[in-house]
Amino acid sequence: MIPPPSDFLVLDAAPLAAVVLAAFTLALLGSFLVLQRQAMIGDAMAHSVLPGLVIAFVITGSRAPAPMFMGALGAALFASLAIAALTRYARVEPTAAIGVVFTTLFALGVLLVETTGARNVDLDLDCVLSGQLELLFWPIERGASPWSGESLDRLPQPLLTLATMWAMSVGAVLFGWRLLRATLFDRPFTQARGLRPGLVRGALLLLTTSTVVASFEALGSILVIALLTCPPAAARLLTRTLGAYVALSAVLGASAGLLGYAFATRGAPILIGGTIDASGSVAAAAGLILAATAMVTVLRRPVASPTG
Amino acid sequence: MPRHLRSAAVHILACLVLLGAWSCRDGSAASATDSGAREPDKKVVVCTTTMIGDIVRAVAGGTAEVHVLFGPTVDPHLFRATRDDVQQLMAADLVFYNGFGLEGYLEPTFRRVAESGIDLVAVAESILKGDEAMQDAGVSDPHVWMDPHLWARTAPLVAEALGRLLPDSAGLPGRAADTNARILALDSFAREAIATIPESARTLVTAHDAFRYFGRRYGLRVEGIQGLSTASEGGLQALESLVDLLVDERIPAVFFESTVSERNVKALIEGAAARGHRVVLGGTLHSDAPGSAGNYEAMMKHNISTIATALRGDSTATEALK
Repeated sequence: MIPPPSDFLVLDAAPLAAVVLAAFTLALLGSFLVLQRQAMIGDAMAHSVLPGLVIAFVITGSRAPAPMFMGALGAALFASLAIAALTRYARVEPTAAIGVVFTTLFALGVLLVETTGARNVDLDLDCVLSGQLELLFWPIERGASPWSGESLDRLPQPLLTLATMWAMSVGAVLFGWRLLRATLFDRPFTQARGLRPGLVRGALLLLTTSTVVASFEALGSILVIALLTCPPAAARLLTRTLGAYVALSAVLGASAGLLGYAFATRGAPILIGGTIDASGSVAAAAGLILAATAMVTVLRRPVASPTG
Repeated sequence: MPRHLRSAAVHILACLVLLGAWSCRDGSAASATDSGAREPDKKVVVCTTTMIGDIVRAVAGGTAEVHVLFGPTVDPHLFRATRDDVQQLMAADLVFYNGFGLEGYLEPTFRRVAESGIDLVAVAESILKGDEAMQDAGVSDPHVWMDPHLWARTAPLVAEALGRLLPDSAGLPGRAADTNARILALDSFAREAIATIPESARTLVTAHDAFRYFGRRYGLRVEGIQGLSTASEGGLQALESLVDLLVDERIPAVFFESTVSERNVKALIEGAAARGHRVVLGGTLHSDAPGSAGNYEAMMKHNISTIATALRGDSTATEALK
């Protein structure tokens, strides 16, 4: 007889894998956002998805994950494009453009909730805020092998989505590296070579938006924003080479995921006597990594030296 | 400079790895002691609300280990599963939940738990026949326990489900009949109490729409500030029309609910006072969890006496409650 699957396999394996994959991907893509001073775009998307969710619900009449995901993705893409358009054509400062777009879309979403009758249904908005990492558990049937096809089919869908986003993002950054570097830092060069910087930026934005939306349900928007910004900011303090910065950012992100989850489920029961919310713990780990890095950098820096 | 920074990075990473290793090691020790706490031979039954848990405990009578997920002050509409709750559900042999969307945020969890072959029973959805379920804007009202004559049917349902799990247990039908009779006694208690309220004062205004089954059974008009789920907001319009109702019909009292914020009900009292009608606070009712009453029967008795006393205008009792 096969022994019952361990708690680790049922309760922790899939959420841990999901949070590490998402953290790696978000920190990787976030490093480019931070360089372009667009770090708060994650916050913008968190608020902009609301009208998309309501519209998807009104059209399909269901809260099934697929239409919700498409609605959120559509709204977030619209928000990114609107921000890009405002910055480029109306010459609004990027941070101001982000502020204008997401408040408008969020207000539109609230209006839609009130007018379409979606208010009688629990559109779980708090879930978008705080995430439900704990729900990515793996319901293996008792007496079944975890590695049978049936058990593997029961792996949580968000984990598979996040794994896909991870593979696509890592692939895109590796293969498009020279193009990406040239687009970000050497616009005249790319234009002279007949390359399309707009296309590269657009692809990067599409990838970022999809990853952010795919991560909301599991991780929650607060954690998504923390992972888009903290690891790149820490990496920025540690290195000046673009390659090392991007790689370090991704590694720090994944470490925050691993440490935060380990603390929430294993460390906290010993210290506080019970497990704590994993999303919050991972976000705190990301913040602590940044704080520790900043402290080390300040202590190591010679007092009078110019920092240029 | 870059070399310094690189060594700093190496230091930080080394610390992280050590920390990670430390927390993983301690964790495996902790989980080993956790799993040792279960009684080895008994089947494990998990219930969401106390209203269900009380009946399951009474019917099981010690033949199964019964756990209740929601504490006595938890609002089931807003309950989110933590890792520990998922652990309990996945370790269960049988799960009883209310259904009709009461545990709104838990429904995806229930679906996934069911995938692993664990038996889940939606109590409220199973005991109602035909059109007995109350509807509001296409959504079924989950607060069935508010009508004890319907809720008493939970006992035979639980006995049948437990019988599938414990085929050797002979005492189940007898205990189910006893439990059923005890809950039906609440029904006559409620009838007698409500009969003491003057016809004109039989309107129950509370924080959210939890008392519609109660009102239908005992002939009370029921108004809630928030809708069926506490996740919905009351809104100014709902407050204003309720103030109109209080003033026009000279309704004597309104009620807090122990799992819902007092803010909206206070606004009603102030709104009516501003229009020259003094509404008293009738007391705190236990709607979605037993609160300080502790169990289902005590909670229903508390609700029934509080409502009857306040709506009769029995001033000594209402002053004491304030």
